[in-house]
Amino acid sequence: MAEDRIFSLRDIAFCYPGNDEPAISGITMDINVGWWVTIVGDNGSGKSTLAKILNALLIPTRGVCYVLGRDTLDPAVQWDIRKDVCMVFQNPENQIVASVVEEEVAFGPENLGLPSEDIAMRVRWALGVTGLSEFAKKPTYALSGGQKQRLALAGALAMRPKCIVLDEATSMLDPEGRRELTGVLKRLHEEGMTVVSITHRTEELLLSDHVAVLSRGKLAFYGDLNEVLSGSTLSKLGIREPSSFRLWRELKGRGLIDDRVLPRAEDMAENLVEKICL
Amino acid sequence: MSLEVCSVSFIYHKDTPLETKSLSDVSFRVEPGEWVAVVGHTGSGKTTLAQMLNGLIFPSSGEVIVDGLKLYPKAPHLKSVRRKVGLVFQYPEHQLFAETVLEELMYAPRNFAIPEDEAMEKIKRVLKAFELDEGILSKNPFELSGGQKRKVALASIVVTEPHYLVLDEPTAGLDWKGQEALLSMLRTFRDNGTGVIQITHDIEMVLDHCDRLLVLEEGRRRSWGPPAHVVEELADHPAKGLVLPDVLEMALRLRRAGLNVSLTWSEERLIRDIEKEVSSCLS
Repeated sequence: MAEDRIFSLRDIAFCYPGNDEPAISGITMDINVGWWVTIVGDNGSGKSTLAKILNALLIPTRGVCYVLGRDTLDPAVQWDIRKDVCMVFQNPENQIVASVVEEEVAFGPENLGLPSEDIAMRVRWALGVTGLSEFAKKPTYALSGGQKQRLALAGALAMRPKCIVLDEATSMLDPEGRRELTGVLKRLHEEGMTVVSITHRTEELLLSDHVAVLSRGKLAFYGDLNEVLSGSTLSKLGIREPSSFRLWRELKGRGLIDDRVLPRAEDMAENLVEKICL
Repeated sequence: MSLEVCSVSFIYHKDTPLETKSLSDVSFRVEPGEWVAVVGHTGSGKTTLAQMLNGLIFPSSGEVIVDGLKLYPKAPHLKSVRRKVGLVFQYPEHQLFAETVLEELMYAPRNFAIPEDEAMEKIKRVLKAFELDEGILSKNPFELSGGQKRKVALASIVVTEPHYLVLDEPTAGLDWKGQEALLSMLRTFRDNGTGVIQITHDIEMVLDHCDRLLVLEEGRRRSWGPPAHVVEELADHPAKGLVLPDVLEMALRLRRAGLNVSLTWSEERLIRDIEKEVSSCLS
């Protein structure tokens, strides 16, 4: 197995108990260390099931899922896999167990049985990365939604994972909260963290380098971001494209913006003005 | 007939150390058959405002008047006003509680003492409006898919045919198709004479649908009027926490750079304007 591969899924299917229809099936995909993969798809397309397979919360009914070369089926390695791959869920309220911010972040490392200096160091680091240092001694209920979600992320980071899996982690946040969270993730990703993010907000695709589309439990598309942007992959699969993507294609088709420009309002406007003024 | 909010203010935990002003001097009005969107950042007072519209809470000062009836604690007409103003909370499916969908949908009609056969007629009508099969009535609401649960939760409010429908983030957590379906349903209600008040922080979603837009910022009315008017007001000084649609953001940036394009959120329009500018630059 290639050393830089973090996830390797082979023909995965998963059936929830008491359900004959598999929630996902026939899924084969590889994810390398350091990638940011966005998974999109309708409600009920199997996105959350797939996410839970990645950190051995669910074990495939068929097929195999390797995480850094270890089979998630093997109970002896499941604990290690969950240390390497941590999840952040949709509702920040449901993920917080402690009443004080720093205790919340310490919860995971304490369960690892680490020496207390190590725990303190991890807590300081995780709060620093997520911009919550000043809240260390504050009660968790006093945080805003965005801050709570960053706290959930800090709790995951304190485990020093190699990959963060986000299951609609921004969907209950307002634009400000979303910006706060994605800002932190962007920095972590630049430092080499693998990110797998499930989202309905297709604007968030621009953060990623690879995109997977699930449709009725099947992998309908898996490729790099450029492929998604230049074709009409998403709309063909019934996924709403941000209006900036369509605008970008129209402007590019007319030669009004350069190829290198990303489909973001500020980048496109700047480039367009430059070109016109020349 | 209208739902009027006149100079309303609201203070939480008044006269305690936790006193917080949530709304200050907010006024707006919704008429039957009109769709008003209320947008604003988290903490801007949107949800407080929603709860005031059917008398769950009462203003610290100012008035809420529903079809001529002023709301105040223990007002004799409070129950009839609550029937006129249907309030749908965020994630309404979290409040499903009955064992069958039928029981769920019967709850409000029984509460308002509507005879069973009349209620059944209303339930059938509402199922049709929501494109739900009558077979769903015998199901347990907890066995339904997320989208269906949301529909049932909405149906349980709409079933008593309120004159005004107040929805707090009704599309949160729905995928695109679910969102589109919900918006088109709201359009139908509006066209049939219901006053729709949709609370959201996503201004892009409502610009094309709503008749008027109320923008809240730190509990104050930042802007109020038809979408085009509001967009113009917000153009140079965006309200806190509001992300303008990409197309509009691009139009704004081009205008600032001196290009003559309209303040639009339609792609086609913007592209047309850009092309015109480009050809006039070249000639």
